[in-house]
Amino acid sequence: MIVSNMSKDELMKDIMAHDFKLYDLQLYLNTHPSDENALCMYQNLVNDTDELKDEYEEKYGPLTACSAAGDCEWKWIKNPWPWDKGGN
Amino acid sequence: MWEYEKKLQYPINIKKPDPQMAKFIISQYGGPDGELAASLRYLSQKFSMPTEITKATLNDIGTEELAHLEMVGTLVSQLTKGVSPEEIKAAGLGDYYTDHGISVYPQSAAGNPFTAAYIQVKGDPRTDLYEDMAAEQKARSTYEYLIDLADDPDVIDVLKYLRQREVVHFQRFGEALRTVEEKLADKKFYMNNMINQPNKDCGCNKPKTKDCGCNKQ
Repeated sequence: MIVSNMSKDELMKDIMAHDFKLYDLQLYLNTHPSDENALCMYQNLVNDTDELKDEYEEKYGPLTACSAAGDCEWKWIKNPWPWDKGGN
Repeated sequence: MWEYEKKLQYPINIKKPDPQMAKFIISQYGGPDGELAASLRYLSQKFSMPTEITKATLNDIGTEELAHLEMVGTLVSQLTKGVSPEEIKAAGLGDYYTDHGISVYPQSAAGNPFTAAYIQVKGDPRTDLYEDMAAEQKARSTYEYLIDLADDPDVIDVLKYLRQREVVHFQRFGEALRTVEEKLADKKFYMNNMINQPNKDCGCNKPKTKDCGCNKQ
């Protein structure tokens, strides 16, 4: 795992940017399923995004419930939630 | 099925409450061209889409609309956070406060509750995709009107993001529609499917024996 020096907010913003690119490419690939450049870009982005999410979850808490049960503590319910101030 | 990720699609951090702007923006939550109508429309239409491209496009844009629904709800929630009943009343939200307190209820700016009558599911892919493209344009227009009404750059930034997604969705629906129309325009070949069903003994598929006599003049 590449550990960056980003703050919580910076890391979240970077994850959002990566997820946004991924989703936009997903919609593009749905109508252009044989665009090899886009396929390659998509796969590279998946790998980068996974690394960023691993780092975020390690430092600041779970993004999905699957990664919320570590250290014998149910971290999923912890504030802030995304709609709260400071939660996104 | 869906899996929840504990984040928004785009960051929202409103520093200045503005209940009047919340009253306008709530239309994109539960109004006629809002995100709830959009997601419900696409996620219901997907069941009668005929091709891989159209199924995927409806499913995934419908899913993104759910993320936008959460964003619009977040805008409304943060714009009304900590606002007093007096300020609510002064902003023209007294009626809303009476029925819903400080919360996010799916309604239009004019107070009409959400209804599935805002959407159509026609079971005809061409008809549905034309409706979807129109819906994206209507939502784009609404976001532009909201941008006209807003003055807080934090709010405008989010509205501009949502507006831009409508443009992209319009493009993708247009591409999906084109694939359907190309398929419909293809030269058609009709096959007698009896040929492929040997169990159905219609007699026409039997190999002709050379000496059956039926071919004799």
